Amino acid sequence: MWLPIKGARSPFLNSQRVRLLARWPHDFASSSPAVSATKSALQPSDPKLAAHSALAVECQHLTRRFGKIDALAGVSLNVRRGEFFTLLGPSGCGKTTLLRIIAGLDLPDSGGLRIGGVEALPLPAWRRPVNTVFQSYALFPHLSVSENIAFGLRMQRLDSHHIVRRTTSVMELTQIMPLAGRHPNELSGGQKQRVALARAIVNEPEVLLLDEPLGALDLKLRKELQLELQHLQKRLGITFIHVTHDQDEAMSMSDRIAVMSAGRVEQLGTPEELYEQPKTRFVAQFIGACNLFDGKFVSHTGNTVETETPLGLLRVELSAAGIDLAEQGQLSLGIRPERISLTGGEAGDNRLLGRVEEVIFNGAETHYRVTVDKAELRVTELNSGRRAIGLFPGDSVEVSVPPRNIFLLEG
Amino acid sequence: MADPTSHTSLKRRRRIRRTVHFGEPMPPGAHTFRAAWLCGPALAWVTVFLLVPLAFVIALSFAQRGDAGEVVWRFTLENYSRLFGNGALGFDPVQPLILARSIGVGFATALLCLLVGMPVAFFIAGLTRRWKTVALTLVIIPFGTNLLIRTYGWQTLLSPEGWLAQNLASAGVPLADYALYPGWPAVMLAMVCDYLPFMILPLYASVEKVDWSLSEAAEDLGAAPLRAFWHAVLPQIRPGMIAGCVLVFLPATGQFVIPDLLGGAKVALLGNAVQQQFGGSRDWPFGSAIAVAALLVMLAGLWLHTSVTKGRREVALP
Repeated sequence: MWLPIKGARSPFLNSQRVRLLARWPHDFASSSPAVSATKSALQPSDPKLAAHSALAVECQHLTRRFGKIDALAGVSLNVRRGEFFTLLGPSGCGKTTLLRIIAGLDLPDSGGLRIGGVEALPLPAWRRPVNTVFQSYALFPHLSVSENIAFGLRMQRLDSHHIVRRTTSVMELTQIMPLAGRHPNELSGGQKQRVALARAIVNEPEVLLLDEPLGALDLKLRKELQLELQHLQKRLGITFIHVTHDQDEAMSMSDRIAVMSAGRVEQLGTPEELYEQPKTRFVAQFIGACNLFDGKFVSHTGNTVETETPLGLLRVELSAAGIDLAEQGQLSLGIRPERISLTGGEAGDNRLLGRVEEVIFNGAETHYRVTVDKAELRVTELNSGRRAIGLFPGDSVEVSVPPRNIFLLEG
Repeated sequence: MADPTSHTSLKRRRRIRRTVHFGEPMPPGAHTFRAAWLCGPALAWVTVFLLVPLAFVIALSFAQRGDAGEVVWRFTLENYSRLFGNGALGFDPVQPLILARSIGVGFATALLCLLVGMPVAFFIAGLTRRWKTVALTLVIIPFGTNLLIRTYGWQTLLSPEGWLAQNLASAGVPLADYALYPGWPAVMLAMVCDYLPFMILPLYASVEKVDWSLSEAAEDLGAAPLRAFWHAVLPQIRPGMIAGCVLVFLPATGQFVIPDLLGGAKVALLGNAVQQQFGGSRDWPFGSAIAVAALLVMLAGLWLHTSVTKGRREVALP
């Protein structure tokens, strides 16, 4: 554009608004390459069929560039109906961009998107069956709490007693009835959060999008609202797509998590899968603590691989998926600190001789920094109370590394 | 500050409020005293040159005109009853019409300025910082030009043998002589152009601060773009709209140069009436009454402003 327009300031003239407006009315939509590529193949002929789709959201190779940065570099993922799904990743990994594309507040450069089985890209934001809880809450300052919540219903032009009934019941559900007459500037952070949530769920969306909804709250309140959000989701049966950079939050709340990094999905799975079988170094490090080291393939018998590592020779018991990786020579290995034992371990463990460098008592557990040869290991022992381990910096110690708990990583 | 935990100190603090001014504790009342001193020159100026003459004008509006045009200090309400149409020969609509016309022109100018200024304000708010400065300078430049010169400029431009009429004629648009000037079109055109900066600047200040995430939230909640604008953006710029309307309405109702030079004899406003009474007609008491009426109209405009800005509620919900 020839005009000296600044980025996202005025939505009337910026390029994104032009892109969003270009598809309205709908006939213009098919001229967009992102839409025409998938439209014919994906549009279900029978709308009833769409309503029974088991998938709430389907993303097919979505890409989005901002200048020279790939915010999304081909993201494909499916979100099941009724699922608590989390997009987890560091800031700038594209998770919010993906959320905005699902909401219709941004358009992908290419790729396909279906919501509830219906092709969603030709639909503008206000026609999509999704609602968003914004990170900044974005409550209307000139409306009271109840008017804020009623906003979506008013936009649907429902009759007033309907609006009042549904608004009231949602306010009861989210326990904000006493706040009904207040204005957003008279609310605390946690209260605003509840209002923003109520304003979104009152519309009974097919998918609720939550953009770091707990990010601005203090820890105690966050824990409290985490539980409430989970209960609410189970009770309403709405599909939640939740964006966060907090791995604890993601682990404790989600049915499934997509770990994102640099515009890609690194790994998608349940919290257990991501913790027990991380596929990449990034996932292993981002979720929980992890000891990472390089290894060289030495030999292999059955599904047990011998590797040469800075710690010495290690036996690794592979899950079926890892076997062809093991043929590659150079390996990347990881093990969780709490799976390593300093108190004997079990028969069949790798036994290494190490030296305790540092002991950090942390209440429920004690963290040790142990050096084996020149490599360093972090070890966590649970303080079960049965006996004190009694290790001090400088002590020699036998380190047991169970072969089952070492995982092989890509890249 | 005294220890706020003890009850007695709380009580004492209410009685003696000590102010600290630039790190220096001041005895009670000293701050007000000092502030009053600094306001002194301005207060004196306003009293001598505004309040006293204003009181004189108000007093004058209750006096009578002598046969030679001199002021006769005898109390009467006749000036005001003339204003509402009681002439020597029964009902005379001239003065009430002037009053109504002034208010109408004020409202029309404000409304037109709002319609024209709104897109401009949004446009400027969307520019980069450097171009913003350029655009705002361009908006303010007309202030630097004398009003008379601008008004004579409109005369030349809009007169039957002027540039616009000639071009329209050659383009085949039939235009009656004096269709543009003198008359309403020329007056309104000049009024809107003159007062547009008063609308654009406060509007721009509001638009600059608009939180666009609210418009996204509205669209997310099912509002089509126009409704999102209406429900989420417009309420945010309402203060700017009202400030702009007041800033345009007040001077526009009292404007007399533009209607005098561009309106011919057809468009007389309060300002022109005052000018005529103090000048040609030599009826100072009646002129004062008109001036007081103009003042009241503006005060009514301001009152409307405050009552509109005071908490406005949508439909009550539980």
